[in-house]
Amino acid sequence: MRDRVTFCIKTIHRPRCCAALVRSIYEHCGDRRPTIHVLDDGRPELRFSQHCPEEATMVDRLVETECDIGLSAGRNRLLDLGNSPIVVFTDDDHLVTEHTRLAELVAKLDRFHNLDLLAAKSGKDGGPRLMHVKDQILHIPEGAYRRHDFIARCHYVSNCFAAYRDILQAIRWDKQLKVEEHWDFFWRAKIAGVNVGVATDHSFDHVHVDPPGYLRRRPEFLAIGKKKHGIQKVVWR
Amino acid sequence: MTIELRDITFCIKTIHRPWACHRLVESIRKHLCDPKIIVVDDGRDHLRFSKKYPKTARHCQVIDLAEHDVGVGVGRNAAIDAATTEYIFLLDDDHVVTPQLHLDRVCLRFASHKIDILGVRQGDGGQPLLLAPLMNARRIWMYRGEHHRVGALAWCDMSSNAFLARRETIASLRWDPALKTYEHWEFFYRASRIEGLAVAVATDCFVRHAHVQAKNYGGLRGRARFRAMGLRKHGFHSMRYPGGTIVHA
Repeated sequence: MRDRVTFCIKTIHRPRCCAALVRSIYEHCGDRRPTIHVLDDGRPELRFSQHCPEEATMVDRLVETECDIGLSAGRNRLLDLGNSPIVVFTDDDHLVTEHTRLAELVAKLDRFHNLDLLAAKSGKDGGPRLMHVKDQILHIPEGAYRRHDFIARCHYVSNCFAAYRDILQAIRWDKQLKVEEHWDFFWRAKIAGVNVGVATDHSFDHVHVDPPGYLRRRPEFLAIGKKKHGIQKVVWR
Repeated sequence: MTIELRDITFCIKTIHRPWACHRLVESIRKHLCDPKIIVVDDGRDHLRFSKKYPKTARHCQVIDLAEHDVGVGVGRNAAIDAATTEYIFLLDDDHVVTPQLHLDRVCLRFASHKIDILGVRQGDGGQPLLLAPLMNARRIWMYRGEHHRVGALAWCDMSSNAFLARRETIASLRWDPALKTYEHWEFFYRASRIEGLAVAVATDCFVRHAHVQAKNYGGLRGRARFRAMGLRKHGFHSMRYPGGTIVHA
């Protein structure tokens, strides 16, 4: 598992969440845990290594960058940091649980040769979604275009997935998008023909925690994404 | 810098589709004033463009190669070498030029941006494509995508075969003469990924792609050994196409 899979965590200003995620990987994967890489772009006084030094020693590589390089730049750097063929990405406030069955999730990704990215559910959310553009509106409704063996084939999933590193390196996250990067990433993945699915019988826990000064709505980044793709609106139906 | 029509040579390699070539040449002449056109033909004598359409051929510099089926690579290189203008515009013989080409727009953008090869759309095709190595560089993935975009101009790794470029750039890059067909991705792989040339597509400029399935042409096109040759040359064992199909060398 360690040679084949790297668990990539981009964190900012949620050191305790990051620590809980790292501990949950140890607890539920045991000897079969993946390599763990963490990238922290927080302010020095809010860093993971400052607040949770013990958990910081449990990761295989910790990279502390300049402040607020953004989700996209952070994830891209994590992609280029390692060389295992498979990577797992989650948010820093996800948790591995007995329902994650990470080794089995990775095995499913391996088993189906026409899958490039296989997500688990994110708590009770994170079901499969489709993407299409009509009249300059990007629609992201719930749904799948095929289902078999508890795997729903779709275009859009939550940010808790296993995927082939080289496929993600080809798509990459758009570094100008510090937030609102998620739909942009999956829209470009759809256009590129990346095969995406959700294993609906696997899940990560997700209890959202707002870090200090966290801004969920940053409309300037939504505007950049919309302009880039020539769309006027993104709707979740 | 401005690029005028007199600075451009339209380069066409043709084989066994004289009617298509005639249609293309006539379409260029219809929409552009006194264009310079070079046609390289490596077909059998009785199927040559110059034999079948001598009146149209008079408006072009036709190079009838002595050897039959030298392939797309050798043929296009001959056209580029024969051109004397600063720029070339490459076309396939089954393209058709219409007002939607907007050549003035293509020239203006080429002159105003850092671009080495500027392609146009061909009907529904010719979308900007990217090339990425997969599986420790044993598989090459060709997929729809862009590096960045300014309005309708999208930078990418690979465009259609209808493009404007400096003659000197293409004369130095060249097509691999060993590849008689399946040369397209290999040319652009070297251009973008090896030589680092800037490739872009003007997504609002089009030629029509009216494929002609001539009896004596189909067999020359579908020769997978040339695809395998191109893949092996760069160390790839397979290719993943935009639709997801995987072909092995």
